Amino acid sequence: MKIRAEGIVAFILLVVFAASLYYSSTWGVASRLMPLIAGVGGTGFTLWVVIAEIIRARSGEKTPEKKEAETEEAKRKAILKAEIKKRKGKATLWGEEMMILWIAGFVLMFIVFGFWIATAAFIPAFLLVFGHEKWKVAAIYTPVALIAIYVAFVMGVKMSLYSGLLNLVRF
Amino acid sequence: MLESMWAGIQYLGSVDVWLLMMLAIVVGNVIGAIPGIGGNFGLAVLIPFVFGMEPFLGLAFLLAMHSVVHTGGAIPGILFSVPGTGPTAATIIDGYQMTRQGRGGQAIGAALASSAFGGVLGAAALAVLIPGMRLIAMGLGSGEIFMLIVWGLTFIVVVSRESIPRGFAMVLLGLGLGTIGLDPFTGVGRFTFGQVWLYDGIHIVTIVLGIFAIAEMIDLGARGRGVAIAEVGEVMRFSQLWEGTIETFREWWLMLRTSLIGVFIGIIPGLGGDVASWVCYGHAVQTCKNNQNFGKGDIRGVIAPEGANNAKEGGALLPTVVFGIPGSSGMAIMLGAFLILGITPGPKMITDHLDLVWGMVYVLVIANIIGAAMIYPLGGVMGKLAYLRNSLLIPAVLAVVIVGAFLIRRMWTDVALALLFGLMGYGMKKGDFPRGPLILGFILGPLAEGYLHKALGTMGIAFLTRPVVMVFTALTILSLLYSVWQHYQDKKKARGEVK
Repeated sequence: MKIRAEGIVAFILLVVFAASLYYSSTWGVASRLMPLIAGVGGTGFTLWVVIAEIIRARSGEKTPEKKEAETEEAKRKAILKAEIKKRKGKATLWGEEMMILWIAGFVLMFIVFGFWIATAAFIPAFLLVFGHEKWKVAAIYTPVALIAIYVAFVMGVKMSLYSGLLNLVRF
Repeated sequence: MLESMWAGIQYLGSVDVWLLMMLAIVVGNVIGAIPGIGGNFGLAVLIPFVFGMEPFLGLAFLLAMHSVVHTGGAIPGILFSVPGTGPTAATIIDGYQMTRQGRGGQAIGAALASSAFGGVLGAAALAVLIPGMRLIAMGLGSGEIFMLIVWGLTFIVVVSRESIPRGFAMVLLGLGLGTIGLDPFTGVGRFTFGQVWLYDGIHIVTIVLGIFAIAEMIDLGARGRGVAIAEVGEVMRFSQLWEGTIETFREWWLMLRTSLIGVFIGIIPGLGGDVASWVCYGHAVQTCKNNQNFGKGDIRGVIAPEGANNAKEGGALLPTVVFGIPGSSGMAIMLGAFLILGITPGPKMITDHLDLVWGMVYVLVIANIIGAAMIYPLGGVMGKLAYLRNSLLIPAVLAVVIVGAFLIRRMWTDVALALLFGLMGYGMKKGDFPRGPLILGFILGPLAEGYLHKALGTMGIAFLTRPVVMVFTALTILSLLYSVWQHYQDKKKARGEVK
């Protein structure tokens, strides 16, 4: 029995909706009205998706998309979509995890060291390690990106950027 | 009305407006030409740049960018069979075949002419419909607007033909997220968990940056470093572009029809560009004489979807500015930008800021014409954007996203929230949960709640018996019944019982 991403996402949402219902149960009627509508409806619809996914997985049924592709009308679209997908490449689980870690690392560095230090470290590291770019590319790209952001936001919009919890670089 | 039209023109007297519009047109075309990102992403990334801008400057910047995205998006689709934006996928069927026959320049010429015409027609439709809509909008009370929003939210899911339960789940998640913060009517902290920084709720930009920009970057990065996705490049000759343009105007009747269909689809909340382009492609195949060449490199297969793509933006602006109900997810993001700029769309905008609306009409016209004209000399260079490696795109985009998330309220917690929404957005993308309805639910939820409280406060539950409210209630019920019927038909179709 193989559960697809759709089922997993639906299950997470189901938990979120149910928790929101429970959490809002102590509020007054006026405050609770909208969260109640969202919570009850959301729980119902995500439960629907989860159950449908479980039934599909147990019976080994084809996905609705595959079914649709079998109709004459959608064949041309399906061929085109497959061609586009092939050209764009396929996201791998390893790639997803790595990418999330890179972004999370960048955000963490931003919080601790502030924008300028985090960005000055992240861009060359990403280009060299993830992108396998030449060091010359990283050496040109990094200062150009930092200067562009400085011109656009600090000089243009006149806003200083976050200096981090350590408050090391302030401008 | 005439004074507003004139005041709208006066906005264009500023050099700053023109400079920003030009920049936005270039950026919009470039974003369109890079496969896999698209208009919503572009809006999400550009919103941080409008902080602190004059309202019209910010509007002109974002609208000009958004209105030309599909113009640039046709180029990689026609040359390399990789659509720059989702809605340009229909253009590929015949456009790419034309490239393989050595007529790529002609196809691009047709796409540009058709896009510009569609965009201008969309703006003209907006201008023509504003006066009538203004009268309707001014006649609506709180109860009517509340029910209109409810109908709009239902309709968005029903007509978008996404999975109905997934679509509704997303709308409701948006509604739920919209309730976070202090309840404006009772002062109760909702889902704030005692955190002071959540008292003001979550900002639309934080969500948009997360679920569109960060999610797309995770997806791009997960595909690897990125390789040249094109096998062959096409050197475009100006003579070919010109031939395509002339041919497009010979097919003016088809261009006019499909652009009008695009406007109509744009007005209907939730249908969006994908539907517009495929419907118009289908319309061309069904109604054109000598249609045996469709799919094999017929120029009419390029003209039809491209005109519709750009025309729908004018249509989608109409409900956004008149009722404050966005016609598409792109317009929902635009609505968020309006709020940042201190403009509240809806009936009040039509009465108090009609000059801004006229200014937007002019921006649409100018951006569509210049956006297409710009590509004539630069099309070959823009085609090469399809070769841009993910590894070069991602770090710059992430840096801008982090700046944008931070600048909203100058709190690092918003950056962390954007990351959280990025993970959510990626999960939604993987699980085929539509992200547009979430944005619409988030924007419209608090509005609906406000109008509901006002309606209940003035008339009590009796507001439901007002004639217009009853009409909208009936439309909501009909929409839901239609969705059930449609779901049943789809199932039958899949089983092969219905042709």
